[in-house]
Amino acid sequence: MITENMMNDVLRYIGIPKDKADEQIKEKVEESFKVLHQVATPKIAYQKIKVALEGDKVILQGMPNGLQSRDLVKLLKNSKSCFIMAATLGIEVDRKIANLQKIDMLQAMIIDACASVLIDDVCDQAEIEIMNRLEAGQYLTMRFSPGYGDVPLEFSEEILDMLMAQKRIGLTLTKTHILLPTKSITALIGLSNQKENRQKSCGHCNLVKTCIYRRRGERCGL
Amino acid sequence: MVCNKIGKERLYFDGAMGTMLQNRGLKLGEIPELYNMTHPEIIEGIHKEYLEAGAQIISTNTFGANRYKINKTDYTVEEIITRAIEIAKRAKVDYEDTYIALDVGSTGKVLKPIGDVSFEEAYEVFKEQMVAGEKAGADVILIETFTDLYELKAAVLAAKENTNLPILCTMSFEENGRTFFGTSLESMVLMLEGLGVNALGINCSLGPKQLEPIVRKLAKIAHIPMMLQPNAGLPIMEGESVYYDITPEEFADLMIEFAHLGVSILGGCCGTNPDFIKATVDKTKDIPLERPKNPKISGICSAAKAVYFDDIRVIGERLNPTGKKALQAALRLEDMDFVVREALQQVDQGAHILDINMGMPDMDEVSLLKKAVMEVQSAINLPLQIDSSNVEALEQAVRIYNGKPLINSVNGKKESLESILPIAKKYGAAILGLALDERGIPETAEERLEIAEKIVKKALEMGIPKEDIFIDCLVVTASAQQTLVKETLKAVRLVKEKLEVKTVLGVSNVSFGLPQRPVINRNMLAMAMMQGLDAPIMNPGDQGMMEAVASYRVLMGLDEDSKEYIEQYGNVASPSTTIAGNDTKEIDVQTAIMKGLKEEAKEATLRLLESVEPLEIIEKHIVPALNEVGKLYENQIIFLPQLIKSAEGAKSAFDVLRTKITTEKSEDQVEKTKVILATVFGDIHDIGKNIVKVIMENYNFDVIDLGKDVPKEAVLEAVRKWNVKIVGLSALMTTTVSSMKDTIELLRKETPEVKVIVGGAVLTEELAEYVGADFYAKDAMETVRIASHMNV
Repeated sequence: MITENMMNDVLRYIGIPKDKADEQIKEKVEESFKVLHQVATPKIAYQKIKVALEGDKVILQGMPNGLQSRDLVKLLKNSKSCFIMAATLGIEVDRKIANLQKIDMLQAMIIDACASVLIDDVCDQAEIEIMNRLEAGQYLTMRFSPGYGDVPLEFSEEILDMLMAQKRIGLTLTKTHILLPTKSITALIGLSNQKENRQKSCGHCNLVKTCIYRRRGERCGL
Repeated sequence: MVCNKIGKERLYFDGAMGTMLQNRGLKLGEIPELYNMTHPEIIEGIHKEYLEAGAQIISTNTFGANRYKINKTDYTVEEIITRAIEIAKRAKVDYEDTYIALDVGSTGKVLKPIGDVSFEEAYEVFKEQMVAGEKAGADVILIETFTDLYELKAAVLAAKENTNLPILCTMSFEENGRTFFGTSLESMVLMLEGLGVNALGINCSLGPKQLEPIVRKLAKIAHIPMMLQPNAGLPIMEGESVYYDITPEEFADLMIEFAHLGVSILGGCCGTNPDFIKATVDKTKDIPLERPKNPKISGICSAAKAVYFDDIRVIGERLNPTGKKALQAALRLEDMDFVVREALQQVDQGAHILDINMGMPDMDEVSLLKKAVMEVQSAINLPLQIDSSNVEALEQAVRIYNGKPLINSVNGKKESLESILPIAKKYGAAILGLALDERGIPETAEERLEIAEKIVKKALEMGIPKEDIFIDCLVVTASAQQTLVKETLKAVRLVKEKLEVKTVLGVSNVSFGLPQRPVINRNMLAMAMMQGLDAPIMNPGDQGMMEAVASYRVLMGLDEDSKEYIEQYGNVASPSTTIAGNDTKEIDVQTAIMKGLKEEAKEATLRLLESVEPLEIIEKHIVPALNEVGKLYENQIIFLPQLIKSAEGAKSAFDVLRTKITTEKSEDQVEKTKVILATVFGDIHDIGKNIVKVIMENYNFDVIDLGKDVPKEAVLEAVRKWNVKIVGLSALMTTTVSSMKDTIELLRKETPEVKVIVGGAVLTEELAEYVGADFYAKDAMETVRIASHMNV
């Protein structure tokens, strides 16, 4: 199902301000989601693990050295455990987008945007699933992905290894720690004993100074 | 020797190593192979438990012992593997007739062009493991849990070319019968049987229950021993732990069925333990091994798709620059997008296989063919027929081909037989033999049969199975050698009858020099099919010929209930007589571009060409339209989607003009500014760069697109080769900005006159300054504006 939010996110990714989208382009987006659904094979793996904090370091269950990250320490300040998560739309989506770029760039760009929105939705759905199973007094923090704030992209590798994500969902990394298939997400969500602010803040974003969405008074939705 | 037992008697492998280690303290995310160094006694204990349970072959704890993983540790790949085998040797001292399998898993990397590891690099990585394994004393190599057929090929070649050990291969399939990478079961079988491995099969991903339909299918198509190592059911997460959902007894009960299906080698994967193996051995050891006897059928494959020659198969001929000006021009600029577009079009038109030939005077055919095969095979699902008269080009392309190709071609000449057949044998490719030899094309059908016979005999001697041999009896032109056409037809029949091999013909050659060539072509095709032609090499865009194929299939009962014919032609009034086009309203070029209407832009340009010179069309019609679009975009009246649409409209107008200019060799050759575009090393996101490309091409730039993940040296080389003064670099990730900086530093040092424009999601004015670029462009239009104002 394509929610209004998903539609708005796609429109933003393809560079159309909210109020400037006509029916024609919206139809095109809807069609593109249909094409995407034919090739996407969404898969997700997640697991609850223990977490401990030591100064500026976050130590996940089994990690020998821990990870230096002020942002994660802040995120997990009320958490004793967290969920690590890896999700992908599958390699056929990459193939489809690559091929379309050679014959119909507009279609390629729209499907590329739809895929970014869809993979986010896959994680959102899993989050809801997790939330529904929480006990009273348990809350989730926001979802935090490597590359965001001071968490290095390299951290994806730890998440994938811990989840055995290559075997289980076919998700791998390039040598430079870019996820492949490209329409994929790795993330960490704290399991907190207090209600947390789940809204992502622009303060963590590396693009905060130049963001065109912020300038237009919007948010990027990530 | 374990080699003598494979396929002769049932053999038992061990079960999971990882699961056992986790139960003995291995932490999540820890490198299991390090246990060979730190806890050898635990590994030895696990091996012994499996041997005690009845396993005859134990797998070393080396699944991920490749340099990508191991180089992060204090050990070398060789050290880890050597130690692993020492441990296994110690463990099996008291167990007679047991063997050690060097366990080799996937590297966890994706091969180019989708990923960032070249086929050759993957080969080297595996070679290191294979060599270390044989040296340390492994008895057999187990290549397991692969999901990408291409990576599997690199691993098998590394084992075959560098060791003398038997090779067993398994891939992991999902319930839809494909791997995560889209590899089909049929493709795995065709490729691995061709490569000559000792056993093939399925492991991991699912439990025996879910794998059952896939194993059944495998038992119907495999000709070599089968192997099976399922998981202990499906994983179930509970809190912080994972367990699997079936018991050893349930597991073994399901394995009984697989033993009856004739699976030679049984074992377990994730979640299994010695209890599973013991139960399996107990319940299946008395079931005699009766391997299925499947008929051999001719087939070739890509990773995703197998094509069997049990029906007419159309081999698309368009990927061949001979006589095609536009393709030649594209290849001179090494524009692989053009090649891929041609390939995609033939897929749409209904081809089953694509011939690929990159032979052009004064171009390096070896690298061009290799590059084209790589790009095309990653874009389309159809198998390829690799076509070259250059032996080196053939071998290189066949080597890096992802699947089992058809080689075009060998012929009856001694030299050809001696150089080409070994390539087919080595890589397990099918081979197309041309019925000609030192004397040229013989006149009579009988003489051609004789040559065909010689080719078949030589190929069989070489060990190439009969079903992999194809013969082309060679079509001559009716205008020059009219009396010989019927000899060709007769030869097809003779070859089919006497040699029982599949036949191929390049049908359209027959009509050279005659008017209305399609008429002759489609009738020649129908006649040839009646003589037993299996695979015409033809233009799948030729409707008449495709109709001949469809009709033949109806009339010969190949298309059951005429289903496919009805589906294809049920809604078409009169197939070949309908003329496409002409129903579009007359829209002028400018409007078509502004509105982004591709077809209309093309039609309007064609109409204009009747009275206006190409250059004038560009200056007075296309450029003003593009300027207007640019202005609207700047003023935020239109947005990126409309800009791209307009660019594509303009592109179809330019394409018309380009064809006109190249075919007439007119003096109008527009001197365009050349620009190099590349996504920098380490970065694989390239849609932004490609959008810039589309826009720039329509503002009269010749874009040389180096693709993604481009090393700095390759950028420099291209700058020199094409003598280019403007380079556009793109990076999407913060982590790859540094390789943008490196690239610019190299260019500054070697070619200071070159101007560099940078862009991409993470780039800002400050970052552009930091990396030392001349310009930062926030989007495609700005790139055009900057590049247009440079005096180069």
